[in-house]
Amino acid sequence: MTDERSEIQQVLAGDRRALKKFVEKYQKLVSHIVFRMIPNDHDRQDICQNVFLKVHQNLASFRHESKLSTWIGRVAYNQCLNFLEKKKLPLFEDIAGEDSNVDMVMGDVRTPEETAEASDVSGRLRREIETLPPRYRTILTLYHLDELTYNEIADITKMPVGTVKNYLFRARRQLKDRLLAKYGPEEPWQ
Amino acid sequence: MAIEHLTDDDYQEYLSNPAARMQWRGHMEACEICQAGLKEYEMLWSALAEEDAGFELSPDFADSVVDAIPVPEVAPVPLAREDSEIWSRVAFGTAAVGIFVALAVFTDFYTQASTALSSIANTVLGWSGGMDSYREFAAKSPVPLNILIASIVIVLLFGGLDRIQNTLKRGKAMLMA
Repeated sequence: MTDERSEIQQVLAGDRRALKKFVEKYQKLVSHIVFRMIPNDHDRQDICQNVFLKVHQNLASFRHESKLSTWIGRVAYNQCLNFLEKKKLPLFEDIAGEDSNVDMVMGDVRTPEETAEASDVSGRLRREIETLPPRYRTILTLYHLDELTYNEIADITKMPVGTVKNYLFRARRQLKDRLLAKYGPEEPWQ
Repeated sequence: MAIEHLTDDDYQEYLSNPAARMQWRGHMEACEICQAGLKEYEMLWSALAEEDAGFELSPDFADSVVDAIPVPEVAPVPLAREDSEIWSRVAFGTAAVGIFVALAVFTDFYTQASTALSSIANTVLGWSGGMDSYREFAAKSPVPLNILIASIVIVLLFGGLDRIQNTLKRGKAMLMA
């Protein structure tokens, strides 16, 4: 917390080097949230920048009631929600039922690019994650890549901890089922 | 009795919750069906942790953010209020000491002050020794009385000045409010 306070003081005092260090430190978390929530690549860069402008603008009012990273994550998440609402992009659609997913997967036809991308585990996984609703994608990434706890994710997304856990379980289950249905029991992980 | 295998939620609990791991460990060691089911989730888990999702921002992203944030105007740093108060007191003190030293060197202020004090003492305390007995008393006193008197006057003067300053400040604050 003391490090956070001195970090914030330096940024607020107008120290440009500290500001750059600050951005570099949190840009991974911000990009994870924004890239998962926002479909268009051009919008993503702009939103990431807007997140940091907003963070800088409100940094003086940060009350240290949560970790700074959680607060920044919340700013990023809210910016994405506002953007999606403005563009009327879907956010709340739920994961479809298990059976319909498998049927859909069986009838799935891949383009050559998708086939190339699907040649490795990461590509296959990325392709499947992209089919999940934004909230599910974001929670998965915050848990597995950023290694945040259920409570921290709940703090960022303003969802109850139980809902976060439930979304995570459902998202993983769907991913596993879809990968197995599409590639068979061995191939998905090779 | 039918064997109870782990559900999808149980596998996920097993991987994320040490208490669930303890609960299911015995069954897991003996049941090949559940071992296979768990393996699928373990594979997914490690793939998710190593996912390269192409979250790359442009290499100059941090610089672009720094450039977009305006440089704060550098205002001359005012002397902290406490510092300025200390310095004004030092200035007052130096001036006051200078005045008293000048009075001692160039005038017979202390003699007159002593006379005045002795007459006050005579009136108030009924001390009838007069000027001569004050001089005798001053000569016997272990503390130089003239300096003592000057110190008392300085302390009283500063106390008064401080009180006036505080009253003015309070008045100003009330006007601002």
